[in-house]
Amino acid sequence: MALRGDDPWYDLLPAEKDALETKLRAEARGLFREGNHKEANAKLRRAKEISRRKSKRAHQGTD
Amino acid sequence: MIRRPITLKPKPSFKEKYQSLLRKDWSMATLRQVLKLLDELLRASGAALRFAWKDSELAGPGSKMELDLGDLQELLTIHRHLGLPGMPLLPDKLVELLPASAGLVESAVRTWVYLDIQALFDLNGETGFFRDIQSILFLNAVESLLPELQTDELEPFHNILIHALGYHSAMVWRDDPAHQQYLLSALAHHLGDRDLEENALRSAFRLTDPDEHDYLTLAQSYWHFLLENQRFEDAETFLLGVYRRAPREQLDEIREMIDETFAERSTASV
Repeated sequence: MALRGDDPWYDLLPAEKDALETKLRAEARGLFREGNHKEANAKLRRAKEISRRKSKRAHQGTD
Repeated sequence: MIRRPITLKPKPSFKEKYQSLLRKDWSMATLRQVLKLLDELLRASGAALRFAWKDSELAGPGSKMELDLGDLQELLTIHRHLGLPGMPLLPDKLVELLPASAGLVESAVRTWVYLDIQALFDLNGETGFFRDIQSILFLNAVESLLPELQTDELEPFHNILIHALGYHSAMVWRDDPAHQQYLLSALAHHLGDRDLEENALRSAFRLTDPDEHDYLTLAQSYWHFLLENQRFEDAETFLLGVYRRAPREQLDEIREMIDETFAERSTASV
């Protein structure tokens, strides 16, 4: 999903983020169903780090 | 304390290294790669860290920023003053602990220094990129390093790292309260502090707009917390609220979570 204000300079592109986070969330639900809460949480934390809006780059060039 | 200045200047090749870390499963090996990228970023910025109590391979060519025991004692003093309630005891002195440092302890000390580095140095330049790498370091440390340090012998480093993680989330992410709360929730989970974990997770979710990439991941994190604690009614109510606000393309996934909540509830009541 394209989002307002993304700074793609260092981050993954939105399409890859979407694919990775959707896959990790599904894996987390599967692990949770199996009772493996620790691994489920680990998958969700990775998904969160991939999907969160990253910090802005320092100002480049001149106004 | 006067903070020494460092102007961060990443090389273009660091982008691929950072993205590679985002794609990796988290482990001690990943944590060491995160530390290596931070080393490389400082070295490229003319500020390679050198730990004064040992000959460190971190130094290499270029100007060096020397860290000595005084710097670490200074960090311990900051943590003693700012520690959150319920935080573990910090060691009084490091002198006896550090000369033997190798392997796991060295990873712990380097992680500590990199989480606290804004207290020692005045960072300029690409600070956003630097703290995004720190964020991966934080979560890897909670996931992989803290459990390894939970032995009698290594407890002082476990405790120092807990304080460093708390300090980092509080001080470095003040302008991003949603991520600040999320990092705090991960630390609270490790500490077994359920109230803090719930408050922090719920705050992170509430501070995130439905059109942000991580909205549904945060919703699922809080939903997992509620199910883990057998709070099925709360989980259902929560998901119905998420369903009302979420973008259309996420509704199938939320319906799946609602179905799973009913299934978990019926399993638990058998």
